[in-house]
Amino acid sequence: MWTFLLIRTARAAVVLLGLSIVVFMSVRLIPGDPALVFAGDYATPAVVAQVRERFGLDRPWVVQYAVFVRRALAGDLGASVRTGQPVLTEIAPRYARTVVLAAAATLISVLVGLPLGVLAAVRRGGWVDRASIALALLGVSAPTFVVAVLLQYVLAVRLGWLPVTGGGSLRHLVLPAVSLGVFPIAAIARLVRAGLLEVLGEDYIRTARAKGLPEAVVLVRHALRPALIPTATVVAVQFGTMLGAAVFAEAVFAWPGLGRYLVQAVSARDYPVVQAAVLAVGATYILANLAVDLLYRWLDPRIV
Amino acid sequence: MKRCSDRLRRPGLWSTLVRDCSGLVGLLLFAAIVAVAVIGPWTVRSDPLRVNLERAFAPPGTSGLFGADHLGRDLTARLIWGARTSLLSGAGALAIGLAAGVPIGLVAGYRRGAVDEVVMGLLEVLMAFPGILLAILAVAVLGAGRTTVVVAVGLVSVPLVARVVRGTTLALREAEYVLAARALGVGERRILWRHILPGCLSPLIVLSVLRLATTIVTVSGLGFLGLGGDPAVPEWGAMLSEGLAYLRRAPHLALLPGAAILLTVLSVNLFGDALNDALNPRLRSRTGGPPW
Repeated sequence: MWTFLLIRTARAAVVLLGLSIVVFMSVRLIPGDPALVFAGDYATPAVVAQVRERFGLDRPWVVQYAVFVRRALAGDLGASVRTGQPVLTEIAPRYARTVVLAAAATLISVLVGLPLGVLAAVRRGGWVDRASIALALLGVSAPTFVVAVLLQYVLAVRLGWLPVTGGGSLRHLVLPAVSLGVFPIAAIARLVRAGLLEVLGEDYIRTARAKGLPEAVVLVRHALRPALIPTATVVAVQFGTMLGAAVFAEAVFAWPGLGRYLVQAVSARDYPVVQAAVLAVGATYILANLAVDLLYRWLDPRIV
Repeated sequence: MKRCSDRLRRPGLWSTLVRDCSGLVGLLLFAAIVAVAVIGPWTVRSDPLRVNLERAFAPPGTSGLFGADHLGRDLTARLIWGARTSLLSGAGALAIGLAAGVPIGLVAGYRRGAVDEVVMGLLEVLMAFPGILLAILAVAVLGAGRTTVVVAVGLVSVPLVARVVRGTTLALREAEYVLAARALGVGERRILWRHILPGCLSPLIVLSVLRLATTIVTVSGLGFLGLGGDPAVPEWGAMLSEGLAYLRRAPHLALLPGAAILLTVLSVNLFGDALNDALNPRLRSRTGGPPW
């Protein structure tokens, strides 16, 4: 167990290091002089020189990278070009709101996808099964931004049940979270169905039924647990993926999260913010994947 | 899967494909969308860029088949030209992913050792964060624009393509016919292109079809976020985003491009799944990427 933990953690650390290099290099690969871009179109040569010195752009890349990592570890991610405020102060509350959105979408996808998958497996070939397959196919084919616009039109604009845009309350969270959760609902339902169908054919399930156990007990206590192992890992992976996809739900519903802020920063060429936002989401994604590996090992100790 | 017709039960890939009803529907639908993208622009008379404020917000049926947008531009023409932009951008991104990913995967899988470790390590880093984020980062570096978006989305596909090709190459490099070619003194490049690459084609074709759905969605998504370059150029993602502002007054401005994206992705996924079932019957998993 400890060797597994150590190897996976070391791998995650290497990937994190790689992520930091990609993010660091990205700004250095901008066509032209990064100092000019940072200083803005109307900056005087003196200001450009000042920016170059301030960001250490006149030093070798290795030194620049070491400084970048040292500062990032100390929580210093630079200042926003647009506002002049420390990037960490700017992104921290937005990051928290994106995590809340992704967590809510994950919760919705589990609450809907799990029973849907179980029903589809138990009533195999029935209308629930066929409907869940159709829903799953539609779910994996419907981009988040299309689902979001559709939900906004029907539930907010036409029916007026929920707010059209904004943030700050639970009611504001519902639509972005549902639109973000549609794909994982489809993925989870399909996975649970496939897992359950495989387990329900096992000998030990037949034994449990032969013992006279009620079907619900056979299903919940004996069949569901092994079927949930791959599902648990998919849920965790989906959480990481949703941190990225949240950018679309945030754009449609004006949810004040990190994704929306990132797009604004890209349009304004606010590179310190872009770097920090990508680093924050990427690091969370890597840590979520590490958690998946550990969870998988904990749920199924045969994994090596 | 339901059978479309028992009469079509013949051996072979094509018959397997057409027997799968959903696959056939997907193929026909996608062929129709491609036909619209290729032939459509020659058949519509109105200019998709021509502004006519007198026709602004014309509902469907009153001014052309689908009406006009907030600037009075013909929505039918814009949707048809948008099909060309979106499909070409998605296909272009896929082509970049294949052009870079196939050689990388071939060399990494064939050489193994340090080359494999370094290349796959780098690709693992690229795959370690959400694809859409990587695409946004690439657009941030290269600057917003249609070409940039295609390159950015193509770059996101490289690690996936390389990983699939590497996996097949690892298995094929030990195959007897490859060992025989090596023993006969055939050069590495020739072995890779003439003997190993054809063996990679089956998984590569399936990956390409399913990946096309993802590249079309990602390209449209970046257009939706306003990172796709010139907003006047008809593109489904940008059109959806423009229509969002008028959802109450003219919902068709957003719903029609949304439906076009959904139908395209659905058709590609249906066809890709059927192709996967036909080419890799042991791997009946539906592998479309996350549809942001």
